[in-house]
Parts: sequence; structure tokens; C-alpha cells
Amino acid sequence: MKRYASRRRKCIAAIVAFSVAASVAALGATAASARHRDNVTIRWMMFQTPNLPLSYWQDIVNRFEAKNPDIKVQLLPSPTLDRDAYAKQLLASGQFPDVLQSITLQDYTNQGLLYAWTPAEQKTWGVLFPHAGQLSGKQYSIPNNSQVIPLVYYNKSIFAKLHLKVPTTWAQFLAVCKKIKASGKTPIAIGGSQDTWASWIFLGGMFSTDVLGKDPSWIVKRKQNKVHFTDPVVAKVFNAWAGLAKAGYFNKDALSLNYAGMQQEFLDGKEAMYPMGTWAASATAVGGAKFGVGVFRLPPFSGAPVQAVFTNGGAVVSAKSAHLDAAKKLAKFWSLDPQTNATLAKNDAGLIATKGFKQPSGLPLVFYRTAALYQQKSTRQHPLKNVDVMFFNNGDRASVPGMDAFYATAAQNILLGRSVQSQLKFLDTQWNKAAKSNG
Amino acid sequence: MPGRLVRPGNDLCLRTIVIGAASETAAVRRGFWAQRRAARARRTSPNLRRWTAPGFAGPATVLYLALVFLPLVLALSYSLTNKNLLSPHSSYVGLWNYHELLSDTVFKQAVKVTAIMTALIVVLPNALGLGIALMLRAETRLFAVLRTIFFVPVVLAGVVVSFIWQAMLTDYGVINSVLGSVGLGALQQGWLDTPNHAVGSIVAVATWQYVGFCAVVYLAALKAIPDELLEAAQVDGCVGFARFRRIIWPLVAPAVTINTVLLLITGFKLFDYVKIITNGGPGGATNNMALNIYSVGFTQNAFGLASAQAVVLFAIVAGLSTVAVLLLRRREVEV
Repeated sequence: MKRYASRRRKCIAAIVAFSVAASVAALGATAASARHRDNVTIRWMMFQTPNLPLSYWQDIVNRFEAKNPDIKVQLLPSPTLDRDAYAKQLLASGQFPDVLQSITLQDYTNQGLLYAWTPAEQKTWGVLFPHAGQLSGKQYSIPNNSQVIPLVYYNKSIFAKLHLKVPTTWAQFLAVCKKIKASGKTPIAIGGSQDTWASWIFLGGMFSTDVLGKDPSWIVKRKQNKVHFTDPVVAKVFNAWAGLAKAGYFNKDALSLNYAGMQQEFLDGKEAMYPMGTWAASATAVGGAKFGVGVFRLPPFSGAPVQAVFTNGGAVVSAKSAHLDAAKKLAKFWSLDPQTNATLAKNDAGLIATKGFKQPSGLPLVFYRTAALYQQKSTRQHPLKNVDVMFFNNGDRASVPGMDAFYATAAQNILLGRSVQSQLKFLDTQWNKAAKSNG
Repeated sequence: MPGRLVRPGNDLCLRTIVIGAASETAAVRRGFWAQRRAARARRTSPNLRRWTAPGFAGPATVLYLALVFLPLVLALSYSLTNKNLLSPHSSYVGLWNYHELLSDTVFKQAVKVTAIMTALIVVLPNALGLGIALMLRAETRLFAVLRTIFFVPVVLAGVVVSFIWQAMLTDYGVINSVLGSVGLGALQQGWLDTPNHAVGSIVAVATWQYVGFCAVVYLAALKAIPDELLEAAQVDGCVGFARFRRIIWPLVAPAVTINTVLLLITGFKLFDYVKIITNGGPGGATNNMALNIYSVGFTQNAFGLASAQAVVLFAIVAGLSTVAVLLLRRREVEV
């Protein structure tokens, strides 16, 4: 009996000793081989859309890794288009990525989370608008592309059939909508559902045109409490929006349609006009429509044409990254590599803002029309004002964090028949709370 | 004494001796092992005996403390501060966040939406699940297949269910297409277009997913009812709805308790459906407490305020669950 117990103890001791030795050997081998490889792995938080599927990002990673064999890139796709919410979840769980794509810069700079490029580094970029998106004099992103949000894409077949001309004033725009409605078609496509911003994008465009068009520093003044949403100039815009809804110019199913559904309805010819950012001009969006697609700027209530432009880079670098140099390399590759920019132009109708960039050929006609509108210079005969995009902006002139959801709620509530005044008061209340929470 | 001595050559005696010898060997072996166990017990220290059970329960306890208890304590502590997700500093503000909630119209609306959704989610899958269980409790092959079909939605992830139903509920989705093709075009709706429709759609999706679970719980409860009781009731003329009301309903009370409490908790915690199908819209109509906590914490960065809302939600769920258990347990009877 004693022999049995003794033999069992020896057996157990031998197994434990072997396991420990094997583990130590394995760990040592891993560490040794890692030192031998000298690789770093950086994590890149990005997002996916119909224009920018996973394959687009993976292609960039493959080309970057081919040029930088000592750097591996791990993609972290955001589960939804709300990249900020995902980035903040990663931050809260101690997993802030090394590179982040298309986030709201001002949300993170308070905590020193983002790397500010040095003036010497900025001189090497070769971009057309080197200070776009600047925050308190610091540059956190490489402003390599612009978007106009929104432009109005329209079905040329419907316009031709109804003998409609492209409107250049608000009165003409209303007349066009009236005629389209009378013909049995729906004038304007908007959306909602899980993509609540799709309810707000057109109203946001009207805000940019007629509020920021008159006073480009309105958002800065709102932060200083000098202006409010209940002011007459803003109320006029929201009342005009409510008027469009009351006249039945929007698709009835707007609130149950997500972004993809909204776009599909326009491509199916159900609505005549589709207000959307310039990314819509890609071949996978309206650029691939079976009918001819034209584009025009949203007319202001009065005065010269206005264009709401968002110029920014997408890739920003975490200041806390353990591999800062590798992260900076990736950010620069996405922003400045000519092939990557050409793919962005092709896939997402990106209006590339780097010096010497030539638009690729073979893109949809509507893309070149979009680019021509954007690049139009302001002249005495044809003045043109560029302003910020109301809800889609970075830098010192951006809204306080968290307001996007409330803009969409207000837009949807007006569509549901609630009073404009109540929604303007709601926006002021929520702005004040958000401003207080964010210092 | 085994193995009595008898004259050799007698078969019976030989068998007796063999059996006796085998019995004696077995007894000796049993005694040997018993002695070994006793010797081991004597060698084992009293401390080791005392810590064996906690030792086995330890890892699970540590996990529970780390993943459940600790976050709860952290949430409570954050709720007493003005913690901002993106700010390096925060300070103690006492009950200020809770005071803010009293005047927060968005939060109050979220509580209202949550209450309505939860009330419907507690009732509908429960009632339908009981009905399905009553219909499908017979042991036939067809009913076994149907029981499986009803249970399939339960095993699907909420996110998957949400994406599927979001596509089906659009105006040009499968639901309206099928209604149109079977001549029920008059019933076609914008299922997510208006506040009432959107809330109804979310509740319908939750009902679809959880009715199978409720049915399975009720099936188990129904199987536990003795057949003799039901037969005796039938003999006494207690049939149909009377049999259900007087015999079955009281005896499935434990199942009612389980389903009600679980659905109560599920309804209050609902997040994936509202996030993916409506994102709280239209116009905030489906913005329930769970989604609001997420928005306040991760979009508006007000972590302290979001934590206060989470503590309030926890208190409501804990309180209502406790009350539900206490009330429902009173009507539980034993056979």
C-alpha cells in the first residue's frame, strides 16, 4: 500500500515537472523567435460601408505590409458606422487602437489621446488644405480628401420627362418638387431606421446652406451661448423642412429605411432626387444607376450659392501607441499613397486634396460632374461660398459631442408631426447638457 | 463463518467453500480499502479538509466577483462622480447625477418606453408559450418536430435576429411582400414608420424569439402533472377550460414564476433589437433605458450620468424581480 502511494506521488510529480518544463521551453522559443523576427503589430480601427467593404481595407493592409515587412496590421472593423462609440468602448476597456479611421477628433484631444503631427512632418505631406480640421492650432489628421455634404443627385430621366430644369433658387426647388409630386413620383429620398443620420442629412444641408452660409461661425457662437437653435434664422430652416414634409415631398417609408434601402429606392427610380454626400457618386452607389444621374447644389433661401465642404483626413494616430512610428507610417500610407487615394476616388468618390493628384479615368460620369461642382472657383459673376458641414465636422467649429443623435431625433420628430418650436427647444436643452458634460 | 468444513468431494460443499472463500476475499478487500481511506483521512490535515470545498468553488467565485460584482461597485462609484469618458479628471458630485435624472426628459421617456415594452414582453411570450405547450404536449413525431421548430429562434443570437427582422420589416421587405401576394394588401404597414408600429415591431421580434423558451419551460411543468390527477378530474367531469383553471394553471405556477421573472429581466435589458432595428427611432420612440445608457456613456461621454442610469435600472430590475418572485411564489402549490 505504501509502495502504491509512493509510486503515485512520484508519477504526479513527474507529470507536473514535465508540464512546467515544456511550458517554459515553449515560452522561451516564442520570445526568442519574436526577437528574431523583430515584427510589430499595430491595430487599425476602421469601418465598412457598401462603398468601402472589408476587401478595400484588406487590400491597403496587404500593400502596406508588402512595403513594410516588419509591420503587421490587425484590422478592427467598427460594428456600426458609429466609429466614435466603438473607439470609446475600446478606450474604456484599455484597448485603444494604434490608428483610428474617421473619428471625431475633438472628442479625444482633451485626454491627449491623439498624436499631433509636428510642423516638420506636415511640410512633407503635399496637401492642398494643410490646416483643415485643425484643433487649437494642432493638426491631428492628414487632410487628404474632401466631401461636399450634401449635394442633390437627381434622376435625369424623370427631369427630362417632366421638362424640369436644375433649380438654382429655393423657389425653383419648391416648384420642381411640386411638379414631381403632381406626376405621381416622390420628389426627395430620405432615410432613417438604424441609420438615423439619413433622416437628418438633408436638413443638415439646409442648415449649412442657410445658417452657416449667413454666419460661418454660428457653431462657435453657440458654444459661447451667443446664439440658439430657437433663433429665427434657424427656425426658418426647420420650418422649411417641416413644410417639405407636410407637402408630402419625402418618401413615406423614410423612417423605416436604412441608408442602403434609401439609396436602393432612388436607384429603383422611386424618388427623383437623392440628397447625399459626394461619396454617393461612386460606381457602387448612384454612379451605377441604370438612368442618367445629374447633380446640383442645394439652393439657398436667398443669396449666392453655398457649398458645405468637409475637408479632413481619415486616419489619426493614437498618442499612446506602443508602436508610434509604425502607426504614423500606416496613417501616412492611407492618406498619401497615390494608389490608395486612387482607390478611394474610385470606391468612395473621394475628392482627393493632395497636390498633383490626377483623377483616375473610367469613373462614372456623375463623379466628374461632382468633382467639377466642388472645384468650381468663386468669381464675381458666379460667387460661391464654402462653409462647414453642420453635423459632420472636425476641429474647433464642430458641434459638442453627442449632438448627432439629437439632430436626427429632432428631424424625425418633425417628420412625425411634432412642432418645430418644441424640437428647437429640445436641441438647445440637449446642447446645454452635452456642453456641460464635456466641459 | 464462511467456508464451513465439510467432507471433500461433495459438489455442494465445494461450491460453498468457493463462494465462501470469494466472499471472504471481497470482505478482506473492502476492509483494506476502508482502512486505506481511514488512514488517508487521518493523514490529511484538518485545514485541507476545511478548504477543499472552497477551493473548488474559488475560481467560479473569483470570476463572478470580477465580472459581475466589481463592475456593479464601479458603476455605483462612477455614478457619484462627473466622470467623462474622455477627460483625465473627474470629481465627486454626490447624488447630483441622480438629481439630474429627475428633470431629464429623454431619460423619463426612456423609462416609459422600457416599461411599455417590458410589460408586453412579459405577457405575450408567456401566454403564447403556454398555449403552444398545451397544444404540443402529446408525444407524437409531428409535435416533436413542431416543438423543435418553435425552439430554434431561442438559440439564435439577438444581433442576427435583429438584422434579419430589420430587413423584413421595411416597407418593401418580406412581411409586406407576403401580405401583398396572399391578398392581404390592406394589412401592409410601415412597420417601423411610426412610434407605435416601431414599438410593436420590437415587441413582436422579442415575442418570436422567446416564445419557444417559454413553451419548453411550460412543457416540462405540464409533464410533471401526474396523469392520475388529470384522469380523476376527467372522471369527475372537470374538463376543458375548467380543468385548465382548476388543475393545470395552479400546478404550472412555478413555470409561470420562472418565465415571468426571466422575461421581466430580458425586457428591461433589451438592447440589440432597438440598436440594430431602429437605433432608438423614430424620433426616440424606441429609445429604451439600455440604449439610452449606451448613448449617454459612449456618445455623449457622460460616464457618470450613464452609470447613474445603470444603477437606477439595476434597482428597478432587482426590485421588480424580487416582488414578482414573492408574489408569484404564493400561488405555487404542490401535488
